[in-house]
Amino acid sequence: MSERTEATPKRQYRRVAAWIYTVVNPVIESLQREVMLLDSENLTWRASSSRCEYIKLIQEYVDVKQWPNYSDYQLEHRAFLENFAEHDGNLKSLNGEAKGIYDWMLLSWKEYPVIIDECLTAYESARPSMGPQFPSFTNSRPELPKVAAENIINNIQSLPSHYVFAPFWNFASRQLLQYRNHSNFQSLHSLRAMLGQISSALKARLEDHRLFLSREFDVPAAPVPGITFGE
Amino acid sequence: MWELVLYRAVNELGFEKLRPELSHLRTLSDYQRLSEFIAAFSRKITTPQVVAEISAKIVRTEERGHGDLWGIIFNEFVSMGMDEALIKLLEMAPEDVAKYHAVDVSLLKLGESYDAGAPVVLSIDASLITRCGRSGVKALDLWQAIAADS
Repeated sequence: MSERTEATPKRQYRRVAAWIYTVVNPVIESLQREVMLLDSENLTWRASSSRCEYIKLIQEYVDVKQWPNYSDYQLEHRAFLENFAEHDGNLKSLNGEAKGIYDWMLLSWKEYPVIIDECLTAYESARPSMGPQFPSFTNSRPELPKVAAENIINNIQSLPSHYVFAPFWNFASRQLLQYRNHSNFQSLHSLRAMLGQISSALKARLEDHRLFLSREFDVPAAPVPGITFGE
Repeated sequence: MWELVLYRAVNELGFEKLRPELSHLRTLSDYQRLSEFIAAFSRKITTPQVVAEISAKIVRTEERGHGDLWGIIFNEFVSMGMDEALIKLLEMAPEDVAKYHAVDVSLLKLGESYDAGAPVVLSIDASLITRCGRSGVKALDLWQAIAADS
């Protein structure tokens, strides 16, 4: 008869590795990009979708196929649920605010079409002296307010020369971006700054947590070829 | 096209993992020179074969970034007013396809189909540039476009 040995709790290396590699690392990496974009005040907000294209809900930073690992991570780390919810809630508010400003500019702000017309007139007057690479935008007049509004919201200082609207925008951007100081933009700026703080703090918390998990379970912070988590 | 997308992804949107993929546009001035070169053309056209080639490149990148990369490509096409022209396989010379492959031959055929003005095929493929020259289609290496004075 064999001697009975006391069972020791199994260390869940593979589960922890799955959390780090499929949830924590992608979210940290994405938050780093998010902070960079928010610092430059480029929301990447698109009128076509009414949301920031490259600033997303936390779960969207995780590969869809890894969502079960994301759920598992959340179950075991409930403290982060609040942080994730705070981030996502703020982002939704930011998206809503950007949409509100876009609609206000195009539908309610009576001075806006006049401002665009003034810029277009100034551009068309200056065009002959600027060379053949500066086409007329008179026929694009209906598009200009929409393009300009999105660029103002996203704080686009200049567009690459090969973009269709670059000649007009690069001519008028200095004047048009000044309207970011309009009082109606204050709420957008506040939400952006708040999201920047939330994202930055969340990134730091996740980095701390990754360090804790790495120490506790001896799992490298990134996959290392040759190191497996088999039995 | 791929280089323009990569440059934006890395430098404007922070996709640092893609930086090693950048082979031509290493600095802002490289990007600006290429951008200015392209801007000189009122019409920009590519072929579905090139889009398929970009698709194949995206497949080789990390899966969870695919959506973002396609987003940049869609934005780039819209922002630069990029058009597409269908060049069917059966319109291509089989011997050309065998030698230069369908992507390059689609660009060659596209260049040949525009005799008005001076269409310029922009490529990183030296053999395509030589082949274009033989057909009287003006072609330029991406390096030359980057080095060109604006």
